[in-house]
Amino acid sequence: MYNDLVEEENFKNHRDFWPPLLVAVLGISLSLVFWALLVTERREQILHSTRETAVQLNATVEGELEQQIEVLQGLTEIWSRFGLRPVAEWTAHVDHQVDRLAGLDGVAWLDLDEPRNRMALGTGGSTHEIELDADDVRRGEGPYLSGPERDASGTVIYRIFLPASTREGHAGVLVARFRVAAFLSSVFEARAPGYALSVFWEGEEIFSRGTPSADPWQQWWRVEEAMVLPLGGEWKVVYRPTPALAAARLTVLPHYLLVAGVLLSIVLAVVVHQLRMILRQSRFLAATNRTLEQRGLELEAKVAERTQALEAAVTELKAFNYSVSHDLRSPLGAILNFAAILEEDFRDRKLDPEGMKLLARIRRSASRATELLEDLLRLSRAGRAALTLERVDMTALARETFAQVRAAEGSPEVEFLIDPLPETAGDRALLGDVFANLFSNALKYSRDAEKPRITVTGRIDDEECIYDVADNGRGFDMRFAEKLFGLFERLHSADEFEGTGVGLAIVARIVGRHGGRVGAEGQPGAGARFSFALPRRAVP
Amino acid sequence: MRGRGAILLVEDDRNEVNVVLRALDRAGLDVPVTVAGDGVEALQVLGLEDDGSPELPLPRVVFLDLKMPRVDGWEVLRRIRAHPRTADLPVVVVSSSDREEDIQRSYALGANSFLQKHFDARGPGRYFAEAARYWLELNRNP
Repeated sequence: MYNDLVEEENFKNHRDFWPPLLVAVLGISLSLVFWALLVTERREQILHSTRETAVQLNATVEGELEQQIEVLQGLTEIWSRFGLRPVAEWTAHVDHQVDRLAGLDGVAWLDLDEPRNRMALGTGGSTHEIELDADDVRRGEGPYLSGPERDASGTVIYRIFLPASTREGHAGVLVARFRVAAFLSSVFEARAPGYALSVFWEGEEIFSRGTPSADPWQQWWRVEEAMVLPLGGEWKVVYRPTPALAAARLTVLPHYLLVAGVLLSIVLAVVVHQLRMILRQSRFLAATNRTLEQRGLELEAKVAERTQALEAAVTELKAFNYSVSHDLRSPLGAILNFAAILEEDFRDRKLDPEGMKLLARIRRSASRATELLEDLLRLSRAGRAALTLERVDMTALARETFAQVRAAEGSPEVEFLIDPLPETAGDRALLGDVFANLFSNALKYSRDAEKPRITVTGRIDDEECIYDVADNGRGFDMRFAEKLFGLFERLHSADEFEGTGVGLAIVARIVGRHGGRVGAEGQPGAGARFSFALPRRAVP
Repeated sequence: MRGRGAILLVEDDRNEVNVVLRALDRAGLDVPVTVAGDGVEALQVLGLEDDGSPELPLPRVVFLDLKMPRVDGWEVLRRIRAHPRTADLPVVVVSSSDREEDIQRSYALGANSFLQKHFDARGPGRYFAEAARYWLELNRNP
């Protein structure tokens, strides 16, 4: 049953990986979605503000261009009004304008009706030759912005053409040349400083400022805003963040949140797994407990059953014992009695000496059977009687018992030496039986000695009290020492020493019931020493 | 089994009865003995069975075996003590049992003495005759 549970448990483990996995996947997915939403939202915000910046900046540039045209228009009016003037005068004037017009490289004027009338003015006091071709002449028919072009040194330029008539009524054209880089860098100068800018004109990059972030993860941050030029055409401006701006605006918080979310999901999954394990374990334990409880009940029932059987057996044994003590005693007693009567009544009559001898044998046998029966009953009682533990003065007990045994056996002179014995806790009556049997044996086997002597000594060991009963009688061969305490074991014939071989068995049983042990040592013709040791226990 | 002996011997074992009677005879106790083979007979002899039989003179002492068929010795003893006429009658329990509880129970029920049956090496049943002599010749009943 228990093994079944364990196996089922193991089996469950195989398919029980899904719930925590699901929790982890769900948690990570949610973290990712949240992260994506957050990132997208932030990108849109950033792009939006970038676009606003771009629109604003582009408008500024457009405004600058318009102002250029306006100023140049002013020049054409001056031109119309005053006509050709000394170069120095114009130079001063243009210089003045150049201060206001960023990137202005130079201005030229051409009389279309009188191509001789032309003037080219450079900025900063220098005069540059401005080549004008047929196309330029054609452009002079209306305001026009040309480019992208390159001058002789390769610098990217644009030119503004404006029609201007002379005072004399000649048609003319004003041409102003601007350096793109100078113009744009002046306009952009301190504006939107965090952005790297690139300006494209018809696919050609005509200006760039700053280095954009090279981080591939930041390439999304790019706004392309067209700038409509006042006289047609457009410039495309690309706004990208410099690494400094990117670092300032793009905090790592969302990524941290993502990492935290993923970690939290994993932790949650682990917790779920652990909780499930604990839950399962507790369920498993509960089931085991139930099983054990059930088993306990079964066991209890079994114990009760067995106890009942045992009690029945004990009752039966008691009945048997009682029956033996009564029913066997009576016929044995009858044999003894009638044999005695026969002997008495017919002593001088019909029975001859041989008959009397046979009769005597019958009596002896019946006597022996009776003795045996009595001894067996004593042995049975020694094994069965409840132990009543009390403080026992062993010295007094030994003395009293010896006196009784001696009186019962009618023994002649015997020297009885006894040392003070350690007291013990035991059943007084049963311990008295122990002494009685030992003394009876000692008397019996020492009665042939010249001066029979029985010595009782005692001592306290670490764990037990040891008592010795020694005699100077017949003794025994140590080879047979082990057999001495066995039931019905005898070392002498019944003719030599009467007895049933039960006495020492009774001693062994009583001492055993006290938790002690017995021992014997001897030598043929040199006496015997029987000892018994009782465990030291608290004396009540 | 009715009689008017000085001794009422309640004993189911014929052998025991023989030994006892012989021992009494040998001991020179020439007294009439009434023998009851079991408890029922004993109660009849003592007039304790409510069967309308005339009351007989009581024995001077009852020797009572314990283990008997039908009504056992303890029941007889209880009935003897329960009846005012026999309440003071000396009763000697004679049993082969030497169990302490049997002895105590006998005295608790009102036995005057407890003898254990045994083989007397001096002569069969001699202890019994000695006890009978005590109760008949030495002891004084109320």
